[in-house]
Amino acid sequence: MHEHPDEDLRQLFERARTPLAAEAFLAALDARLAAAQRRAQRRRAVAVALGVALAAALALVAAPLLTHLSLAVGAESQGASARLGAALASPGGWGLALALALLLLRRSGALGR
Amino acid sequence: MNGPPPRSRLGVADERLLAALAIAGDDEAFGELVRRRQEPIRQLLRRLCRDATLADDLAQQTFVQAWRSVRALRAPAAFGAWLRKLAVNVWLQHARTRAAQAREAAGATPPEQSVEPATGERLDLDHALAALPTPVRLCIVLAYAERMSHREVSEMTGIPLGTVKSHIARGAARLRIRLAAYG
Repeated sequence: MHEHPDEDLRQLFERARTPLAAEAFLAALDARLAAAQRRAQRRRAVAVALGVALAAALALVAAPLLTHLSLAVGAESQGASARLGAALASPGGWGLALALALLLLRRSGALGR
Repeated sequence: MNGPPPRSRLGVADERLLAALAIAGDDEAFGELVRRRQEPIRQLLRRLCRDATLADDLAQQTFVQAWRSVRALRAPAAFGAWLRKLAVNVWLQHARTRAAQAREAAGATPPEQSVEPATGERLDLDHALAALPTPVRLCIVLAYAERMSHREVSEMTGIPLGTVKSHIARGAARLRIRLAAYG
């Protein structure tokens, strides 16, 4: 201990270190640690419950919006299907379908044989 | 994978292994570390705060804080130094709170703590230490009771190295004068 040259003082500190009984200290500490563990478990349980409640609240808020959106998409796709069906049933649609069918048959080689 | 050692072997396990297990969340390993480290931490706090009951209370606070934050410790080998620093911080926090309460109460000096019944050198030493300003007492105790170097004291307390050296020199001189006066 070259940095602390006062050997008498160092020895005085050494002699002041009387042995300490551990049992009572450890028993009291066990009780405090157990209480801290219970508090930590409670905090975790509260955090989980808050998370679930938040998710449920979000679902409640979002459900009508999602329903509205899916209904709008469904209506739009229904309109598009109807328009496509009407176009295919028209004379122009028949003609186009026939031309497409002939093109496909020709490319497959069925008309050449 | 060898897995953790059986509980019966924790008592003879290396402290670094115990610290690594505690960091991983093993409460049994943490308990073994507490059993091994309780005495030095209590001794340190007794020198710092003079009152045995208060020292044990602060030591318990230290271990509870250690249990809460041990998972944040990165180096198992540093467990002892980390715990000692935690104890010093708990004591400093207590000292600051007590000083603030004393200022609010009367604008006077902090109230005298209850003192454990003791006689002789230890009482003289604790009396003399109690008369030193908080940072000086901290530096003296870490240097002489914990046998830490000036640099280690500086690193632990955050006090500049030059200030640590002057605190220790002046504190030791004041201690010698007071101890000589006690006879």
